[in-house]
Amino acid sequence: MSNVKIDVRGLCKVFGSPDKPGGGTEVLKDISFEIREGEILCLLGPSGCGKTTVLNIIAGFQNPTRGEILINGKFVNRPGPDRGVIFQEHGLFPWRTALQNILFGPEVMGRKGPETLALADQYIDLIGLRGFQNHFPHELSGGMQQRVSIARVLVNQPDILLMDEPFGKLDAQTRAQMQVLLLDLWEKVRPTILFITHDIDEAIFLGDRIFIMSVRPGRVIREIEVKLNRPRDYDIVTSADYLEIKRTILGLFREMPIHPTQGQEQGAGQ
Amino acid sequence: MRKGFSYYDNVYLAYAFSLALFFLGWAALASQTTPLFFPSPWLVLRAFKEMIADGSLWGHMEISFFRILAGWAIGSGLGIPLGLLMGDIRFFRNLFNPYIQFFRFIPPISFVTLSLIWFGMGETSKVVLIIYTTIFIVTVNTIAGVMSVSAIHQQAARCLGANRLQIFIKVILPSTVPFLLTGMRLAMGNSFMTIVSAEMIAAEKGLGFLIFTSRLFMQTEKIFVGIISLGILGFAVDGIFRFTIHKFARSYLFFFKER
Repeated sequence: MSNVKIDVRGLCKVFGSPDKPGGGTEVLKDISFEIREGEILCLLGPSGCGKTTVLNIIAGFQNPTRGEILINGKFVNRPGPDRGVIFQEHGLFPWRTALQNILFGPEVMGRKGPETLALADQYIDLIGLRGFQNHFPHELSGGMQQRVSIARVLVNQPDILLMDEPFGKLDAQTRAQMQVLLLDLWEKVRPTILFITHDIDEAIFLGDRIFIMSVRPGRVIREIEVKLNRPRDYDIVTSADYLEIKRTILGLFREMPIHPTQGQEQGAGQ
Repeated sequence: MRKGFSYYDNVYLAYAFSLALFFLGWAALASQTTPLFFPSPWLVLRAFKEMIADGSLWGHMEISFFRILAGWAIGSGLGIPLGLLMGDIRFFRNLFNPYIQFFRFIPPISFVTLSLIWFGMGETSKVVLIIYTTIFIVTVNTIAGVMSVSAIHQQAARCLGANRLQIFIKVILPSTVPFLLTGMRLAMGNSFMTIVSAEMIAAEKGLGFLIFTSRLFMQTEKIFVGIISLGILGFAVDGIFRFTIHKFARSYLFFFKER
């Protein structure tokens, strides 16, 4: 058992005013879990279960109503370059080329030496961007845009990647390519990854462990260990072990009440 | 299948055709009336030639152009920082917003006489009117730009290590560029309206003055010269503005490409 990288303790989040009776929507209820150093942890749940809110709190974009986050044993409540966030919308700066986007982090942190350029160059190769580094984001395909945003985060050399359904908007083929690319990167760089998704197959294919979240109020109802060999390739999706895990998760989803507060979609996840 | 090249698709051919049709229609219309009421294209062209030859047309155009340019530049120079401040800091937005919302509905023309009383017959009164015309449009557009900066861009910048000032300079400012350029372009158009009315009421030179005084001397063709010159000047200025943006701010045109 390796070290605890991210320690999530008793997270609660209420949107609106919790003091008024009936006011406020409880989005997260007492969420506690640990993410081990160097693992890929998938947070899996249906739309509106608050999984994006969990990520936003760990990233430091939002504060929890109760509870706390410890990274390497230290309390955090604001964003930092140690935690790279990759969004569903690529979030690239449209007035900067791919390379200029990648160099944003080093630029604001005052590291603009030749070694930074060499590092950026290295990630351009690693992520398959060679030849596209001087294109503007709108000139790139969805998959390419997401590659740039991954490289932009990696060049800061964070030990944690927080990924919020990063491949959710890509077509099935590109998504599969990006999943393989991500595993490939992970093998080489070994960051700790929190990966948020509502896609069961994606969670099983990528994750070392999967946390299943229930709908509002969001709670972790089950932890599933994914004991599939690494490095993984796409053939495993038809293996017996894989299907067994998938059957378990589908069973859990079937029992879950769907949209207990229908029509109240707000703020949390999508 | 369409052919690779069609005469119907040639833009310059279409322009030439359209212009020819326009002048033909003008000539036809003019032939039915007196030159005093509606001068023919040839008469207007002759007036153009005369006024270019004696240098008077340049004089009018030049003075109108520099009044607009000075007022527009100063107005943008004031409006952009004001808009950035108001868009980014709620306190300043609350402080200035009532005035912006009040004054932006009062047309600059209504201030022409006041401006004359306060700033006299000279250049200052006209330039002040153009500043007034420009500042609200540029400010309001800049505020809109700052307010619509994508939340994801700001979050991304924060988690890449940028501080508050760096986010303002490296994210908010460039995101706002397309908005403030749009505001400046609109303001330029409105400045033409203002300058003509101001010059009609009090000036010794300028295109507005030319149009207004030609009426007194029954020189209808010179009114036409003034009006056409306004169009040419506006077209040229807008062209220069767009060219400059393309040349120096190309990467900020994402806004028009993405949407």
